[in-house]
Amino acid sequence: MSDPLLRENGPLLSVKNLVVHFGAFPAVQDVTFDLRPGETLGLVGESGSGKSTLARAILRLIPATSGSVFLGRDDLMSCRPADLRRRRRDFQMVFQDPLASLNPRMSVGAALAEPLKIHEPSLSAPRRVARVAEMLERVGLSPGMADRRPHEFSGGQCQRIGIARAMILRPKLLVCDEPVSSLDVSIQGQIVNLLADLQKELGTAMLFISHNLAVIRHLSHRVLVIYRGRLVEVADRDELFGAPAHPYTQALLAAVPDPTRVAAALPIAAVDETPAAPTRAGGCAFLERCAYAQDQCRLTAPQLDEVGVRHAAACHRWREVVYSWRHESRNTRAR
Amino acid sequence: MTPVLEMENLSVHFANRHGAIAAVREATLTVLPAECVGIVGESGSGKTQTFMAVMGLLSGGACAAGSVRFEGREILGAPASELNRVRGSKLTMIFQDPMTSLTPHLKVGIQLAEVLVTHSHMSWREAEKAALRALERVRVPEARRRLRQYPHELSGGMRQRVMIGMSLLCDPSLLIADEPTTALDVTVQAQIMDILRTMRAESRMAIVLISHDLGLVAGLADRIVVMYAGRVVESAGAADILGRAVHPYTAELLKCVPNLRGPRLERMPSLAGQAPGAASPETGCAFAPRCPLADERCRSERPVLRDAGVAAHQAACHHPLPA
Amino acid sequence: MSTIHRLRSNAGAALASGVIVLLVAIAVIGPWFNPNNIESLDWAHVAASPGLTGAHWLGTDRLGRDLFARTLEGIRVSLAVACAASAISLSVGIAYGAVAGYAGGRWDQLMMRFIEVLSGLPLIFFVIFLTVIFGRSRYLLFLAIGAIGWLTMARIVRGQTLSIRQREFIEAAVASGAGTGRIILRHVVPNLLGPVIVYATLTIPQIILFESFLSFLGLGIQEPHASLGTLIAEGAGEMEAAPWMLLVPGGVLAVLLVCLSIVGDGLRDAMVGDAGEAT
Repeated sequence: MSDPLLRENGPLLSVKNLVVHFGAFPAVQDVTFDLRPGETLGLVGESGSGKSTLARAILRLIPATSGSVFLGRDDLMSCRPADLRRRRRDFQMVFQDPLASLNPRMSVGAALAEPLKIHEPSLSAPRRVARVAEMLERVGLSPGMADRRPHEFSGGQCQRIGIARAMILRPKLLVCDEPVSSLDVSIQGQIVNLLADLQKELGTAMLFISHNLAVIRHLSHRVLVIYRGRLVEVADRDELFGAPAHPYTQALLAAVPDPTRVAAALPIAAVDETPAAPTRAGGCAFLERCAYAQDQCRLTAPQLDEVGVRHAAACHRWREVVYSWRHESRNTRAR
Repeated sequence: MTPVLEMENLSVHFANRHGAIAAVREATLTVLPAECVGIVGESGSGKTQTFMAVMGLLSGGACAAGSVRFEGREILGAPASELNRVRGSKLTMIFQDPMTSLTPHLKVGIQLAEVLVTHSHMSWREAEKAALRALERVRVPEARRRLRQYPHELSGGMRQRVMIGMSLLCDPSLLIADEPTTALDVTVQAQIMDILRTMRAESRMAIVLISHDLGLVAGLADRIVVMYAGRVVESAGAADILGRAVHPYTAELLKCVPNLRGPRLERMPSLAGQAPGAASPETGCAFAPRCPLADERCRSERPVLRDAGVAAHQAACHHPLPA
Repeated sequence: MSTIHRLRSNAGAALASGVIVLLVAIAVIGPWFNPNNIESLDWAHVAASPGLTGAHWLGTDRLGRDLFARTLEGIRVSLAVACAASAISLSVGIAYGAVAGYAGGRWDQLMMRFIEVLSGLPLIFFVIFLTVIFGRSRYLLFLAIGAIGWLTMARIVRGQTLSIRQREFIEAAVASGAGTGRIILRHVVPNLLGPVIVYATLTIPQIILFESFLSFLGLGIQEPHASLGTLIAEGAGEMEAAPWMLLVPGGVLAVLLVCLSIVGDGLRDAMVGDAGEAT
């Protein structure tokens, strides 16, 4: 399935028809997208959507069933293990649980020095220490903390360390898997702003994964929405927030707590995400939770079609969806 | 009317080899029947320990001082036998991680029925029927099937609904919800909040909603209590706080509440630095290091909770924000 | 280091470790103060009972050898065997178990089956077999006991590795480009050392007993050297006539084993705190 938005020459990351199956369970189904150098792509989805699986498959941390992942001109899928390890300096990851992603028995300084030892072995020990100190300062920590162990830091500080570790080799691509979801709302901004600053400074492209659209809005240039392993909407940031064309995107937007709207009526049914539920043969995957569902949706699965400028959505009734959102926005503003 | 919960100068200390750590310092608040009080604070503000003390669930090394009255009766320091008469039936609590609150090797239906058999002295058969009704009440789909499942077979949101259902079984006067949606996705969070809203409308149950997310709390609470470093720093009606926060900390928290319909901000708002750990000594106002308005007086003299001019609005600040 | 701190504050473990240190000190330094050595035969005091004022503080055995000297030698030998055998089983067990656990899949299955086969073999025959081929030597004893001890150690290490492998910092290490060797050495092993060391401490008593048993059978330490086991063997035969020949080494062995068990327990309790922080 081709990406209708594929346009530019030479994207940094090009994911084509990626499929990941765990046994019979299709976690990721036919995902295609591009990421340009220096761009931030927001990937939005909830638990069971396959977003983390997608990220790990791209980074080759788990094996993909089929498809290709091009970093520059190289297909990471067909790389030999030794070559892949060497190329890892170009694509790094920041994890969801900051404390768990750090080796409890390793000092923070040693954790930061490890990527240097692996990829720049010719670096002398003093130079390495200097690089570690520089990186710690850059993420807002004092170099004197290098000897401490992870459990001596707060969640926010641990995440800074994780970011420092990922960025110390100045990778071209940074994948962030829900990096602020486990932090207090008041601290999330510190980390998000840090990532934005580092990106501007080092020109890193980012794939930022989150289930919280409020965070995505601050950081992303473009947004992908994923549901049950498929991309259901793709758009530039402002376009997505202004005119969401898929009912799931609307539901995500409506779910962000808004104190000015008490008892917001959610346009989705009160059904939990159940990844184990069998996908209806032929119909739309969002059927059970959709407020706009019609017979057509039961029969044919919608494809990702162009609905606007650099905007694609997989919904038969996208026109109604956009209209009702604009209509409600106008009403809210009028209040 | 008798408040459902009356807390006066509650303090919780943990003893360790370096001395005593104060997790909660002289917290005073009241919950009226059918009222929803939101407790907002960052990690380490003492908000959870306050209500662990209320429920008598403090860990072994902790000691609580002060007074906590539930429906007129003093429960702080009461023996387990007395507490168990109200805990789980009239005074219930749900936690952030429902997986650890549910017994992994017992089916959901049995755990629900057990509450009724223990507290309401029902027969198992009646209790199971009541359990089914409870699950339907919290809108668990395929409730009958769920009763026969184990906790790990349910999703996080589903488990939280089961916990809510369980806490409502004996028609409680007060439900304490400690970060019930923090571990859940946004849409599931919205659904859980919806259920709490509905439960409140249907019964005369009071709710205490604890969270670090002011935006979330504001959607349900009648009154909001803001805690920082173990102390109550502001207390007012929800609409009042949203419209006019008096304490600088609350004002900063408000800035962090996302507004998706407003214009996009280049920088995501946040508070600088981090909250002091419970072990830090208290000199002056605990918020001074992070406060844009702090001066010498703030650093040396601790502000006391006092009226902020508006009715039922209190703040502990030397430089309360003007209207 | 918080583990040491916690260990120190555990009164029982502190006392037990003190006793062990004392025994080791006496075993090492004692011979300087004792005019007798382990071999000299004192025909004037054959099977003499203990007496602090006499020539032999703890008495003598049937051949007139000083029991104090021989007991000290016994402590030295038994502890040496225990430490050496532990070292062997630790190093082999950790290496084998970590590799099997981390590799997973077919390799893991193969390696574990191999261990199960070896576990099924009767160890005594193995030891006899080795003794026949290489003759009696104390180094052979270290090897033999260590070679048996590593089996359970490998199982434990493999189990620990399986759970460590799932943890996020391992994934982070892979994402950094670390190779398998680096991951096992720098990430897996340091995180399993806690439970493994505790287990090792708790198996030292078992090793000492096993060595005693082998020596008792005549397969281990031989004359004129003594281990606590050989001394107990001799003493058992003289139980009625000269009970001190059994009570002295037996008592020392019992005290040693109890103290080691207490220290092992204390170490585990102390390390749980450490792991708890590290979670």
